[in-house]
Amino acid sequence: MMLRIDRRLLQNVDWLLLASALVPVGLGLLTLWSLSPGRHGSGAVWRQLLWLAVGLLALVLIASVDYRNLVRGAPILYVVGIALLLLVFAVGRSVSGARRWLPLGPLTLQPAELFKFIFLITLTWVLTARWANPRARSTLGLTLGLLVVPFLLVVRQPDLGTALVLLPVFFALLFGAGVRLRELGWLGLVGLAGTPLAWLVLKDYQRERLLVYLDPFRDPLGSAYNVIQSKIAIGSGQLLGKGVAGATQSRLAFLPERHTDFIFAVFAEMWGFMGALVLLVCYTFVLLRGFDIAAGAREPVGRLLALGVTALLAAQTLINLGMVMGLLPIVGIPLPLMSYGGSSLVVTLMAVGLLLSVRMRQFL
Amino acid sequence: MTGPLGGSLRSRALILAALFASALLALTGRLAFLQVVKHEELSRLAERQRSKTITLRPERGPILDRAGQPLAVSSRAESLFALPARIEDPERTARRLAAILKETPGAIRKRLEADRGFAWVKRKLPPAVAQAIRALGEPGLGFVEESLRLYPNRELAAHVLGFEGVDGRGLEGVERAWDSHLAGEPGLGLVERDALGREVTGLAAVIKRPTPGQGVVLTVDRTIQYLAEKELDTAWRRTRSQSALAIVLDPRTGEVLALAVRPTFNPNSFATATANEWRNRAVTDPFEPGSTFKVILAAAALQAGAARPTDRFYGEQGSITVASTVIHDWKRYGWLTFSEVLQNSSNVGAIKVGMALGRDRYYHYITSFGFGSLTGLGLPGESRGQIRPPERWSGLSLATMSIGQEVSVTALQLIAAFGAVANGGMLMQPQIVRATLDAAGHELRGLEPRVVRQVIAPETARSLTQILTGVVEEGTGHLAAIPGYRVAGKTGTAQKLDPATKHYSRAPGVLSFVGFAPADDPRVVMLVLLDEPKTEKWGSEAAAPIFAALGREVLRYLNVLPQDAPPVQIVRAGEPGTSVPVSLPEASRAAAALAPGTGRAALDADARSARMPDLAGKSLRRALSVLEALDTQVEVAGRGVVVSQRPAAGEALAPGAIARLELAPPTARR
Repeated sequence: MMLRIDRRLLQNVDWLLLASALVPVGLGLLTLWSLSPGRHGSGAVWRQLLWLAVGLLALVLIASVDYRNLVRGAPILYVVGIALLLLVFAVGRSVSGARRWLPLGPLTLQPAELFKFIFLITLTWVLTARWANPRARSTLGLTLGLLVVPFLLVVRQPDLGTALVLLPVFFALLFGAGVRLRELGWLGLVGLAGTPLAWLVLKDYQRERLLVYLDPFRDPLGSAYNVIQSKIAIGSGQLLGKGVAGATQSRLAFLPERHTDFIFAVFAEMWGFMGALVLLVCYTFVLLRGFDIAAGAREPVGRLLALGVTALLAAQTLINLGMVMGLLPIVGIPLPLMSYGGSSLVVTLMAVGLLLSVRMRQFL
Repeated sequence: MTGPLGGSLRSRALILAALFASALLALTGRLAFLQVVKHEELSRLAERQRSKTITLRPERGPILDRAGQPLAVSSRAESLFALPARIEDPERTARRLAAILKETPGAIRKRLEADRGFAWVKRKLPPAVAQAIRALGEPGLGFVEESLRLYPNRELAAHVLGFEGVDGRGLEGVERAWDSHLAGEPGLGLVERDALGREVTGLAAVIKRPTPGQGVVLTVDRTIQYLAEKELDTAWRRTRSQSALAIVLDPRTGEVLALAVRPTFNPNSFATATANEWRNRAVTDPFEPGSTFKVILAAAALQAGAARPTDRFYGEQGSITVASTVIHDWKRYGWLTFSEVLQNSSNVGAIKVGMALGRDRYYHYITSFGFGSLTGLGLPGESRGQIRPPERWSGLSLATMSIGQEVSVTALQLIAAFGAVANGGMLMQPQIVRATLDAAGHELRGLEPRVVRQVIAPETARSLTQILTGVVEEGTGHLAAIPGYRVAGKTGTAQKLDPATKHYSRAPGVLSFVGFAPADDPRVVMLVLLDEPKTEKWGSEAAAPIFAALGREVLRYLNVLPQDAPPVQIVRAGEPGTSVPVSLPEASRAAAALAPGTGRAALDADARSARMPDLAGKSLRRALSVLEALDTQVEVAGRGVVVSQRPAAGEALAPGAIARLELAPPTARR
């Protein structure tokens, strides 16, 4: 692939989109730093900064490649992605009972995060291929197969949260590709019916692991505890926040997973409703711009890619916020752009790069 | 893909966008509900949780004197807390605790019934008391380890050290100024967390372990501090002064060797002392220096060329009228030389010198000497004193400031300025801390002496020193003389401005003596100050003798050789400090036996054209074994390692010549 960059492309970079995606990244770093500004905590900030550099590099690379070439490479990407998921079981590093990470020098890679990205490219490839009609049953069957294999692999890590995020991406892409609502409905019903079946198929210890995953403290009260602490943190932030020093819920470690999944609660405790609103505005802008790019695309590949990316980010954002605010059950999904975690940050920035890519080429 | 399907696909994207937007709107609503509507209830929950955590205090770093002797140390103590909700019978518990803690049951019960998840009952208990309480087996009580600050030398250097408050923060002195180094990082403990079903009684669960603080090494020498405290205390009691000060400084480095203040307090029980006793007057309380300030005037006049030591000034027979105010002198002086003006501390003479100098030049040198600005010592509450700029001087100001009135300075500023005169005109920043140490006692950071500026030329400083030795030898400062040493210094007497009448009161004011010794190679600059003594009136009669007594002891401790009548000690090797006269061959043989293989070669090679070897840093034993070969007589003063020698290294050494060695303890880095 040649990296020849058309000068017109540069003129069409959506700087506003890029900027509003980077604001949560910056605020996330600030929050990480304020959680433990001492010598002890700064390690996380440096690691995240390193990942940010990697992510920005990936963003530029993705944006400069014509996304159609990327989609053409989908089959290879998919195979590599599945291979990485399998590799996790062989050589993965396990943290508190879950095997999700591949060691990569000083850093670690979470293949499931990367796979979300590969998945939406692959699905776009299938749904826009000349040999496949998105309305044909056979195409639906193929896409379902492409979903189920990685879904089960990720669930067995176990990483229920990441696996669940594949579902909205799947449905949004089918919906955007023009699949009839009736068929989507059937698919949904089959999925729902499959859930208790899957539960029965799982062995006791596997269920136990899922439960343990749901509850990081391995305590029956644990998951409720997380939600309560998160709500207390957010609520005690009030309108204007308690500031860094006053954020006792976050700083005294009452709030679990505060660097990762619950980082929004930390931010809301420190900066209050007004601060949280700034974040929400940024996310809203990024995502509505994403839908706008999808709607404005002049050919199906770009439209579906933009839609898939936006659905991925939207689903994660909504699920994370819903769970942190006590509206949804706790499933471990990081807040895109803001949560500590390199793979998530890099993949999210790659997704933003893809959006930029589609947008730039709208005008050619 | 255009046409009807493309259009419908576009609207499908928009439908998804609308779904997303409404979900986000719902989340915003939820956020507003939590943070704006329910914030009160949730904030209360947060507070209740927070109150169940306790800070685990780290062990505070020690404060050491310059030789590593402990001045403030920490030991572990246990603090008793209560979980009021878990106390079964507050009355019984209170009664049983009261017997052990020696308090009234009512007071304890109040704490046990506090409307909180957690309450301290008593902090920092001795181990035996903690053990007795544990043996009670009362529910709802628990202990946390805390750090207990001890000052093993009690009042010694109390004002320099300051003290630590009950919350573990330094409240005064170095304890406060260096708190961030001494304090360490607190840890976090949890006494109860019911949401998790975890329940802790007895000892708190450690969430985060505390990091111990760094040690701080002072420039203060414990022995010199002790001498200063002793002399000052005697004088303070004898004169029944309101307050008193003594400072000893090394003029070459600006290091504070001792700083004693009266009234004083015991930092181990600072709570029973008053702020009046804690206050480190040497830095916090500016005063009118009076005649000691004439030295600053003289330095300025000499440096600016406004006067030479031999210039004459007419004493006007004891009074002068400036801006229709009559200023009197001590005596009806006639013609006085510049030197005599200082020796006699003539007011009229000083005013005439001041007029010759002029106000702008005078102001320039006053500020150059550091008056009117912070010294940078770094103890809390330091005052700048007050020096008004020339624009705000009245017609009288130049005259009154020439005799040390209408200015206010701190004792530290004054001694630092005298230190500059002693140090060849170079003003050093006064320094109280010389290093910080890690928990294992290794040096983390050394603080080097810092030059502020060259205020006057070395020749000016030399001739001023000459004049100031005259003050002690022939003038008002004769009581400050230390036998065997040349002392340079100046007395000071200042009436206090009565705030009610705005006139100088007739009551005794601030009496002081500031000076340094030995005059031609100053090792110490010292200040003694008595505020409102009841029994003495003149500085020369009160402060100067204390200066002399303290100076003699300090110089002896520092092994400074007397210049006039050197007490010669011939020392038997291996028994330093004893003054048993021995013949040199005997000493040499003893030395050679103790240190075989040294010196013999030097004898063969250098017997005819002997040169003095460099003995610096050598022990007495080694030095003797080297000198043995050179057929010299040896005079020794002090103990430890050689710090100076005469003749100097490399000088020719005639057979039978006398080599003088000065020794000092190797631990003291000076």
